[in-house]
Amino acid sequence: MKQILFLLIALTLFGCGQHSFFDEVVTELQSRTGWLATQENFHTIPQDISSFSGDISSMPRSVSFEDRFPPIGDQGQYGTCVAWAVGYSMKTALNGIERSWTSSQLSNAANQTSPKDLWMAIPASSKGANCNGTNFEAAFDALISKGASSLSQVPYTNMGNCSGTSSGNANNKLANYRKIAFNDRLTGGTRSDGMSVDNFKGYISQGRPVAIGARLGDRFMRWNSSATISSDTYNDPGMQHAYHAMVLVGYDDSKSAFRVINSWGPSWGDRGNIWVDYDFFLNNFCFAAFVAQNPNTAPNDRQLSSGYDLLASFAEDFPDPRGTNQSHRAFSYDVFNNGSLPILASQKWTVFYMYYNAYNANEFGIISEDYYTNENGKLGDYGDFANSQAIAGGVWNHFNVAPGKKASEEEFPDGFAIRYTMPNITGDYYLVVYADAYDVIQESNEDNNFYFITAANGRPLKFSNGVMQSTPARTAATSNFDNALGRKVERVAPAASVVELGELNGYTPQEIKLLLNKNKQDGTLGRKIAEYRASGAATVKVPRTK
Amino acid sequence: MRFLLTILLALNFSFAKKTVKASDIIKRLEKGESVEIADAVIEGSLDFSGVGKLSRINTAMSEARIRGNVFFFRCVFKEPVIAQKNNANARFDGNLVFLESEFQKEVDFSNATVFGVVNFSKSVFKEGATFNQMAIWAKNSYFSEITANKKFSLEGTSFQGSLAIVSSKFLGRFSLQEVFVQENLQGSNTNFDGATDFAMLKVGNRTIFRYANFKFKPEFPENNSPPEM
Repeated sequence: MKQILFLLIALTLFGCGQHSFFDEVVTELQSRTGWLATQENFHTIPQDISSFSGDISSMPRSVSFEDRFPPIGDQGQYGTCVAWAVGYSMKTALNGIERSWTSSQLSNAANQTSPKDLWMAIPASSKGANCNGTNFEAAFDALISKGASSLSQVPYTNMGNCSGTSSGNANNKLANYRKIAFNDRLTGGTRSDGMSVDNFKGYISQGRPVAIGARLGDRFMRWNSSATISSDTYNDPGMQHAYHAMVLVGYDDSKSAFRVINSWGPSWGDRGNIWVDYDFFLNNFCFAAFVAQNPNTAPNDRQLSSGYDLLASFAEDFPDPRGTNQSHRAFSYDVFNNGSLPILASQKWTVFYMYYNAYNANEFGIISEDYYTNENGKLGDYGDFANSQAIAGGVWNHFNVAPGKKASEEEFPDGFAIRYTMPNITGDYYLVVYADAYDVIQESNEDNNFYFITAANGRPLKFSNGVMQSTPARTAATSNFDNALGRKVERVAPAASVVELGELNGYTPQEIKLLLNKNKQDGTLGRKIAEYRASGAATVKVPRTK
Repeated sequence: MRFLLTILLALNFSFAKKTVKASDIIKRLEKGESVEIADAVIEGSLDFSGVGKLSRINTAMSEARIRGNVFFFRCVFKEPVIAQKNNANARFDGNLVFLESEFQKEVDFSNATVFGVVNFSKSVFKEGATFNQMAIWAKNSYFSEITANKKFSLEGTSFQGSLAIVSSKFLGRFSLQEVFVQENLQGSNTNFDGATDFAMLKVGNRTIFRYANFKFKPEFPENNSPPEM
């Protein structure tokens, strides 16, 4: 009996008791932090494609746009750091940069995004067991889908127990977010990408706020200096679990440090901020970094535009009826002259058909090129390039396209199909038709040149060794080209053709354009085209048989 | 003839050093024995954080206990010398001495606790040397006449006695950030060729940097008595 009593006391003191103590410490520390790093799914968050690719030496020695942010906030004892970083700091700054707000405007609560409203918009299922934090995906997704009210409308008071509801604000949304760097060591992984000083400096030098997920240590918690932190300890048991969201707002090469703003009030650190040593930042501090974009005011493409304008309005991809294996496929597209001027063969423009990885568009390839030119044959002729001649294999067309007409309409009145062999890709991908891929025609609207082929609900298409596993979503459009203008009115605006189909993180047309421009400038596109030629995978354009 | 003699002497010097495996040193320390090695090349990484059975100090961290004295004289360490790894730190009950030694790879004693003398005098650190967040209980700690080719950091370390970094050469960044020295900090006649960081440094008695050369102007915190330059 005495032994059982002793055992019970021992268990209470050294088992449950000790566990509870550490749990309490951890909970207390997480209250001031709140990034649930282990919930982050880095591999399905799209990688940004606009990383700095210019001359590193041209970057300034120091950059700070701290003055483009609202005053330092204070999250108090709540694990709301992600909502403060993404909502209050980053979203307010993006709005301020876009609208050139002064410091007094940034100090006005009516202009500040409410961290409470954003926090309440995040589903309870994404807020951890004790409502003690969340992940970046959840916060960004909430800002994209619902938006957030201003701090004057929803003050950071009466936080309660997580059960409140969000007002939201359709006029204060994000368009998208992208990861720019990650290290999945915190979740037991071994992968990392983008963790270089130049990558971070590139974004900052472009004036783009970078939200970061960091691991905190003992010294960080008590920091009260303008010096640069370059080492830390993690002896405090809570520090093993203290993951925190903040925002990068500058760098200084003379200090070899990044400038980070926090949400612990102005009495912490260096007036609420901290300098973090480059090496320490990369190796021990930062484990995730994201950028975000405000929605563009997309031009209305439902009216005939003046001057030149190409509009990709439809594309489909299907098994090649004459193919001999499952990677033999065919595609067709509609590209209209949506402008008031004819698009001439002498303008030598191109339609690309390409694929790109749904979560990292830097992994892309050209499937086919359809080239409109007066260099071959006479008006009305068309033909196949030899691989050695074509820019990406494919087809040449000596045709002009009149306003309101579709490209290839005169060649193939009943439509056409371009037969090809799908490259040996495995994973999640989108297919896209890109009109005027080399951007040789100065159009009144450059954003409607894309048509994305997705699986149902805008999800990525799945591939295994070049064999498509998904069924591409069909649009309402038919292959009847007679009522071109009428169909344009019905179509989904290309600028949102992926996003509006439900995939919050599909790359936008602007990003795909940026991707190709960047790859053209750094020679990657040329290399891919050379690989295409070498592969011998010529495409063939044939009349569509019904 | 003189040339030949010089070569022979040089060869003799390098051939004179015996080779000791780091794993053998660890085995002796695990038995609680002291280690005294002179004129040797130490092969393999010397990892004090894995010595013996680790004692848990909280839910995540453990501590290796080195009961014997550690003494190296004119040794060459070809691989890293470390005292923290995989959430395990080291505790030295005795002395931690590396005299006139050469560290060819990184050195990291961060988070270690040392109750005996700490002396790294006349040693050369070819890669980064990190002594962060240590607790050193000795009356005097010596990093004098050392040469550190790269970053040398003592950040957050607590010296319960005095710290001497006299007549040394720091070619890379040197940091005493958030260091606490109970008695005197003596850095005279030392060259600091890289950036220095003395932020949040606290010295109980005198801070002496006479004849020290700073390539970049140092900024000492105002809460201490002014440094004697």
